[in-house]
This record gives sequence, C-alpha cells and structure tokens, in this order.
Amino acid sequence: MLRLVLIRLASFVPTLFVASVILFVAVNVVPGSAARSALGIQATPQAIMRFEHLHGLDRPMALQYVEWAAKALVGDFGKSFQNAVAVGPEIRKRVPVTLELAAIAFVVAIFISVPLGALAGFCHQRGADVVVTTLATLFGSTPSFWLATLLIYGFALQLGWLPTGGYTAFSLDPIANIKGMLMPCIALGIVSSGLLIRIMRTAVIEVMAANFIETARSKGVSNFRLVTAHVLRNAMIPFLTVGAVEFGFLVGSVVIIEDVFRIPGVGSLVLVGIINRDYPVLLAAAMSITVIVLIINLLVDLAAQMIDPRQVRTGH
Amino acid sequence: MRLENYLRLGFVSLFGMAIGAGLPYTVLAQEGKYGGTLVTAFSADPGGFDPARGPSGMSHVVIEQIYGTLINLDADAQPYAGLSESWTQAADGLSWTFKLREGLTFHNGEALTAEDVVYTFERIMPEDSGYAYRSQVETIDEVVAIDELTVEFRLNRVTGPFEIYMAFPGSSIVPKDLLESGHDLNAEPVGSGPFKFVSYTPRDSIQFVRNENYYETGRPYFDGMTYRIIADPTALSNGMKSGEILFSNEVPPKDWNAVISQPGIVNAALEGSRYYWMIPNHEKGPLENKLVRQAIGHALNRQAIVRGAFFGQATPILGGVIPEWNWAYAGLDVFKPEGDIEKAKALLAEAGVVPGTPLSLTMVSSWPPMMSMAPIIQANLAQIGFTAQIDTMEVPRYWDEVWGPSKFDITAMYWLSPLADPDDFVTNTYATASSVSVHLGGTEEMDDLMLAAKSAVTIEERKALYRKQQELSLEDMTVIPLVNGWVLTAHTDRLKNFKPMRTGFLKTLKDAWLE
Amino acid sequence: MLMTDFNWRRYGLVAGTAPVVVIILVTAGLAPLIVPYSPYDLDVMVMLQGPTASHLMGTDELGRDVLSRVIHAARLSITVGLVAVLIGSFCGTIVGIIAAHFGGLVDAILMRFMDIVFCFPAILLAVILMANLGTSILNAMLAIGIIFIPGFARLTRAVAQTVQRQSFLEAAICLGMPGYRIVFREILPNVIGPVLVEAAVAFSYAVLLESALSFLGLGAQPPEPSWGNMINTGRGFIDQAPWISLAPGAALFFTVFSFNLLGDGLRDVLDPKLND
Repeated sequence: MLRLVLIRLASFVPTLFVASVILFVAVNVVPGSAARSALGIQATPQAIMRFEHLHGLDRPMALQYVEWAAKALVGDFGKSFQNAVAVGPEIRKRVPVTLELAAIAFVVAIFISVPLGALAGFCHQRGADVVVTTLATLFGSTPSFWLATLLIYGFALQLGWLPTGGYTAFSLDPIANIKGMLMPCIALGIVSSGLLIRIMRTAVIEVMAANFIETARSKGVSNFRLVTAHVLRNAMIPFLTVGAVEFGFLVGSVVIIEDVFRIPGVGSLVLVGIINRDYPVLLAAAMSITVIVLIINLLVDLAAQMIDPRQVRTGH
Repeated sequence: MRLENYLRLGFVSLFGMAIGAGLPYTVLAQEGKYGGTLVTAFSADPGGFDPARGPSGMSHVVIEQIYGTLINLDADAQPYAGLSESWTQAADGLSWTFKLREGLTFHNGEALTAEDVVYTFERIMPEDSGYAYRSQVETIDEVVAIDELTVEFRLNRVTGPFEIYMAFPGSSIVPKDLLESGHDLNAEPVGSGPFKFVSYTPRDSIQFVRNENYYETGRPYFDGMTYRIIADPTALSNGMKSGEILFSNEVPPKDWNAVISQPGIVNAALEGSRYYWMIPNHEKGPLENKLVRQAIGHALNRQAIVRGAFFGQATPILGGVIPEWNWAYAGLDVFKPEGDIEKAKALLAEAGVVPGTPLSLTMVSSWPPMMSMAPIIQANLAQIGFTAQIDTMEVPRYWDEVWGPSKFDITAMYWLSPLADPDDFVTNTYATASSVSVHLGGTEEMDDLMLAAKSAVTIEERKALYRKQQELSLEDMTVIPLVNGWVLTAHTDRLKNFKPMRTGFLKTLKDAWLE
Repeated sequence: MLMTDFNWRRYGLVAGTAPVVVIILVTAGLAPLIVPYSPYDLDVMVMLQGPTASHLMGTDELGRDVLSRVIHAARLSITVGLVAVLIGSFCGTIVGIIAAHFGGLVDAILMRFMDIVFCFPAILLAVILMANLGTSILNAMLAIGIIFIPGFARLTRAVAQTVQRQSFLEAAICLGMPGYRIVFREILPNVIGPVLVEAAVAFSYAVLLESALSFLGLGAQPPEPSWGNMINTGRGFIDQAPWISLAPGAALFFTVFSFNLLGDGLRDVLDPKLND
C-alpha cells in the first residue's frame, strides 16, 4: 500500500515539472512587448532595451526557466514588470482567497448534487430520474458568467441585498465575507452541480445494483430508511473520488468568476498578468492554479487508494 | 461724565480694532477644517514612484502629492511659487535663476537645498538616463548651485514652456543624500510634498499621511488620503454612488449622469487636455493626398462621436487641437459638428481620387471610447465611398505591431497632456519624427514653426506662431482631430474648496478640506 | 408506426431536441438573410432603448439592434464550435489510434503528455493560448480545438484498445492484413459512435468556451457581435439597459442546453447502457 502511495507521489514531481515548463514557454512567447506595456507610450528604444536587459529577457529561454524555477521553489516569484513590487507576497495573499471561493462553491455543489443525484438514482428510469437528469443538463449548460450577471442584477442592483462584488477577509468582517462569497459560490456551485448530479446518480445506481438484493435479504424486512442510508454511505466514496475531478474544472472557472465579482484571488491575477504582459505575475498566478489542481487530484487519488485500494483511478 | 464716555468710547474702539485686526485671522482659521481621510478612486496601478522613472499618468498623480517642484501650477495652469519663492529669467532667455525657500526639508528631515536641485536634474538630463520626458530638459546645458538657496539653469536655447516643465511631476526634487546611499525611490518615495507616502498595495490602494512640516503652513487639511485602485469602471461608479469613494476624476462617461444625479455629489467636470485624433498613414494610397485627408476630416460626424463614445461628455474639435481654455487657442473652426458630407465629396473630386481598395481602421480594444468611435467613423467613411475594415488589438501588441512600425492604414490615439503648454499639444502629434508621431508625414514648415514657438521669448510671439501652426495643420491635415473628452470629476459635497485642474492633476487637493 | 409503438425511452430525447437544434442551426446559417437590421448599423440617437416593436430586443450602447446582433453571434459561435470540434476530434482520434496501435513507449509518452495537458484547467489554457496566438475568431477555433485533443485522444484510444483485444483482429493480422486496413475497417467504425456523442457534448462546451473567451475580451472583438462580448459590454450597462446582457445570455444558454440534451439523446440511441 505504501508502495502505491509512493509511486503516486513520485509521478507528481515530473508532472509538476513538465507543467511548469509548458507554462513558462507559453507565457514567454506571448507577443506584445512586456517592456512597452510597462513603460508606456513614450518609451524610447533605449529604455526598452534597458528594460529587457534588466529583466533578463534577452537571454536564452532555458536559462531563464532554470533561474525562474529555482527561485520559485523557495517562494520567490520575482518582481512585477509593472511596478517592481515582489509578486510572492501577493500570491500568498491571493491563494487562500481562491481556495475559500473554490471550497465553498464545491460545498454548495455537493449540497445540490447529493440529494438530487440520490433521488435520481433511487428513482432510476422513473419520472423523477428524467426530471433530475434534465435539471442536471440544465445546470451544466449554464454559462457561469451569465448566471453571475443575472445574480448581480437581481440581488445586488434590484434588491440591494448583496454587494455587487469585492472581497472582505473573514477575519476582518465575517458577515461581509459571507455576503461577498454568496453569489460567486452559488454561480460556480450550480454550474458544477450539473456533472456532479450525474456522478452521484451513477454511484447510487451502481451501489444499489451491487448491494440491494443482498441487503434486503439479510435484513429481512426491507427497512427503507436503513437501506437508503446504507446506499448513500457507500455511494459517497465513489462520488467524491470521481467528483473531485470536477473540482479541477471549478478551479479553472474561478478565473472568470473572480473577474466578474472582483475577488482578489489568483484567477483574476492571471487576467491582470495577461492584459499587462506582466510575465512574472502571469506565470506565478497560472502556476498557482495549476499546482492547486494537481495537489487536489493527488490528494484525492491517495485518499481513494487508502480507502479502497481496488478503486484505482486510472484513465481518468 | 464726558471723560468716562470718551474712555468708554476709546476702550470700545480699541477693543473693536483688536477684533477687527483679529477678524481675518479667525476667518482664515475657520476657512479650512482639519482632519479626515480623503478616499479617492483610480482605475490603473502606478508604475513606480521615482520621478525620473515613473512613466505613467498614475505614477504622476502619486508623485505630485509626495514631492515638491520648483514651480507649481494652479487650477488654471498658471505658474506660482513652489519650492522656490521666486525666480527670474535672463533678458536673453538663456538662463533661469531660482531662489529656494528657507528651511525646506524632505520627509525624512533632511534639508532641501540647491544641491538637491542640481542632483535632481543631472539625474534626468543625460541621454541614457531613460527619462521618458527628456524633451523637456534637453535644452538645459547645465544646472549650477550658486549658493545654498540659489540655483541657475543655463539653457542652450530659449525654452518658452520652461516654467511649465519645472512644474511637471518628473521635475520633482529628489533627496540627493538618500539616493546616493542606495535608497530605492521607486518603491519608497521620499519628497517634500504635502503628503508622505505610507504604503502601496498593488491592485488595491496607495496610502498617504499629512506632512506636518510642509512649507505651506496650514496645509494640507486632510489627515491622510487613500487612493483606491478599482480597475472595473462600473465598480468605480458604484463606489461613488454608494458614498464609499469620496472623489474621483476618472468617472466613466457612461455612468456620469447616474453618478452626478446622486444627492450629495458635486459635478466638477471640465474640459481638459485630453484630446482624441485619427492618424492616417501618409504612405498608404489615397491618404498621401492632403485633400483626401481633409475630406475625411470633414466627413466625420463629431456630434455622433460625442454622443456615442462619450455620452455627451466631450467637445467636438472643430479646428486646431489646442482647446479654448488655453491661451494659444486660435478659434479656427473649419469643421461642422455633424460633419459635411457634400464638402468632403467635393474635396475628393478635387483630388481626383475615387475610393477603391478598403482601408483598415486599427483600434485599441482596451479603450472603450475607441471601440465605440470605430463603427461611427467607419460609417462616416462609407458615406464618402471609403470601405473601412475595423481591426482591433489589445494594448501591448498594438504598441509593438501597429504603432511602433506604423503598420496601419488609419488608427486613432488620445493624449492627456500633463502640461498645459501648447507645445505639448502639438509637437508630438505633428512632428515629422517622434515616438508619438507615427503618421509618416508632416512638413518641415510645421516642424520649424513648432520649434520657433517653443523657443520664442514672449507669450504673444508664441501665440502668434501657434496660430500659424494650427492653420497649417488644418491645411495639411497631418492628423484628423476628433474630440476633447472632458475630465469627469465628481466628489462628495463634504469636500470644500477643491478646484479641478484641466490637466487632470490633483495638486489642488492640498487646499481642500472635508466638512 | 403509431405513437405508442415508438420507443420513447430510446429515441424520445433525440426526437424532441433534434428539431430545436435544426432550427438553431438554420437560423444561425441564414443569419444575414433573416436579420431585421445589419448588426453593425448604428444610430446613436436611439441608443440604450428597451424592447420595442421596431427593436424586439432593444438597442445597445451605439443604437444597434440587439436581436440582429444576437442572431449573428449565433452564427459565429456555432461556426467556432463546429470547427473547434472538428479539429479536436480529428487530431484527437489520430493520436488515440496511433497510441493504441503502436502501444508501448509511443503510447506511454503520448498519453502522458495528454494527461498533463488535461490537468490544466481549460479556461487557463484557453486564455494563455489566445494571448499567444492573438485575439481573433480563427485563433479561438484553434485554441479550443487544441484543448479538446486530449479528451478525444483518450476516448478513441480506449475504444481502439477494446476493439484490438477482440480475437478476430488477431486472426486478421495473422492473415497478413495491413495495419491501415485494420484501422479503417475495424477500428474506425467502432470509434465513430462514441466520438459522435463526445462531439455533441464537446460542441456545446466549445460554444461556452468561445463565449467565455470573448467575455474576457480574448475572442471575437467588437464591433463583431459575439454572445460573450455582448454580455461583457452589457455588464457595464446592466443598470441602464439590462437587455444588452440578458438577451445574448439567454440565447447562449438555450443553445448550449439544446445541444447538451441532444448529446444525452444520442447517448440513449447509440448505447442506452452508456447512460448508466
């Protein structure tokens, strides 16, 4: 068992490495001079050359990568091209915000998808199943940014119950924090629940197919509540292991949602980096998101293996 | 009895005189209320706080609060004494002598003397200094400290806008000793201005605190200021409407009416120095013919552009680009606000040009007014027979791929002149060769005129020369002026004594207070 | 065939959604012919007006007809979706079949690479790709197509491997049938079904991705109407003219939903067991 865990861990490092190389190359060949972006309309050719030399942009890519990676490993993500402020502290401030957003959104999605998915599974091939499956498709088809705009229009502008955006740290003002997180997490949660409902439904169906007859016989009188609880308990594990893949999609969607709701996480930082051609910022933010997804996948894989070594998640 | 009366009268008179003498004092003391933090909002992050390096407008808005300059500009862009209490210009115009105030200090307590002034300018004058506004200091041969409080600038050419240049944030006096000890001014600015730098959190805010030792006693009034950075324009407007933001001069035109109709908000909008113009590439087909350029100039419906791209908050430029509030305004109205298609067509006929190949209209996608203008311009061009195809590009790629190599048929640009001097309005735009002038056209005659106007000694001389230049500019139609987009300033009615500046700068905040 | 004889369970969903999908496709295809106004015709005098008889979905910030722009945007999104899916499915199928056919090291390297690309969140990849390629409709097709390759590669590889394991294939190899013949006659026909189902779902995701990209300003550029950039511009006017955002969003949602339902329906038809 430990061997399996170590193997899984061992494959994490090269994956991380390759991902970082891909990102680095992708970012550094983005056309549109970073120098001009930083220096503005009056930049002279000398100023541009000075800038590029100062930031080592005129050296071979491989060398630049090694230098960046070495510093990144100890948390030094360089300085922003725009204002020469260190990127690391900003990343450290923003990652928890994105994590909070993603986590709460995932919880919302679970709250929606577990009851609905279970309902569909229990009522397989009957009316409720069709309704729920259609609902799942409905949720999954919703564009998150449009849903976000609708929510803002309704709850913030018309009703005035919630702020149009922004973020307040929980430690500063818990109520304001929750108010600010409500709409973004609901938007993300609803869209994610599309897939999760189906996963739950499938899990419930499979558990029922495997266990139902046995359980019913062994317990004699089929106690509805006992059976239901039993099935649910067994379905949660496959649900979570497969569903955790959706968490990766969710983290990707935060790029848009953070932009719409002006939440200072690493998602919105990616866009800032692109618009300004601020390579250090873009790289650090994109890398952070990728690392979060990779780590979640890793943790879920490990958890799945420990709980049920039979359920090795290959080919996902 | 009489003596008592006299005594009483005398006593009352004395008392009255005392009060009378003291009255102005009490009135002055009541004039400004101390305290409070002014929360303002801007849309962009600054690029650094070293006057020699800060290239962006946002950097300057910070620099002007933290540093001092030899001369300041008031709300109408007229120079008045800053760090120097007086200055003189030599009769031949080739040298300026400044007398510094006594007892000036930087925020770290160090004295500000002529040495710092010399150091400041020697830092930005060299060709390889990387200073983006070198054209302002290129006529300075040397800067000499005559004594501890006197500095002399020796020029190699008469420089009309010299006082304006001395008031420019890039000319802010920096602390020599601090810099020589290796301090990074770009990250932690130390100056002699009304406010001290506290902190900068990227994409969030910049904090200032009052400089208790500011040389202008009694100023500033605020305890501190917060410059919030709000990239989304709608969020900025919402912040103003909700009262969270007390001041902004970057209110987006689309929300202007909604913001100023809120109770408790004061409209301080004014026409400034932000103008937009269309740039035809003089090496592209029909555009090399000045009659064709004139035709395009007349075909444009500037009224529609004001309405569609600026929601009414702009002035159509009907003649030269120097605006009406500036002393060099020439009042040469040649365009009709709604355009004149007949005249445009007549000009095309006179040029003998029949529009054939489509032209590309390349606009920067990140600037909403440009994007809104593009279809209007396209429609106007279609009316005189030109098919224009709209290409868009985001800012960073635009600089490299369109602007720098002049790879466009027609493009558009805007400029918010930070100086109020007419030279800054015309030189970069019309010159035959400059990093801002990419039209690949222009005439030597205009170049000479602009140089002469910049180097003339008296305002009257300069005014006449700029008039001539503007006449020529409309004849040559090197670029096509569009509109002047107002500086949309709005603030809470609790803010008193604030005078908006046409350049969009905020030096006058030091004279304002919060009730 | 009476209505009661119809196998609703199997064909019901397809029967219901196909007409809707066809209507959407036809509307999008005939866009230039059926729109009441040109999507570029502006009139600043009627800007920001709500729905009226002459402008059923109102006008936008330059006085253009929102309905016409929504219909035109349909054409754009659907074209991008189709091309992106074609690119992704074509390239992905090739990769998957190659991996399955050669096996061993080739398979390991290819699939590892696919795995790593797969682990990047799609939006992140799309955003960076667009910044690299330049913001245009063509590049959006390319970028989204690239993102789909790993998914199709995995699918076709799995199917191809299943087919390969079947014994008659070994017989064919023994008899000397050349490799490509095997591919074309045995593997491809089995691959097409699942690929089609995946393509339907991928198509709607492509439409969503294209809208997301133009929403962020990285796809179709104004004044070219795209549902995404219309929703984005509309955001700035949500209090003055909410229809600018709501109309294209509703169209986008409806289209994606219809195609997703169609995908569900196809799954029912091709292999009802797949639904479980």
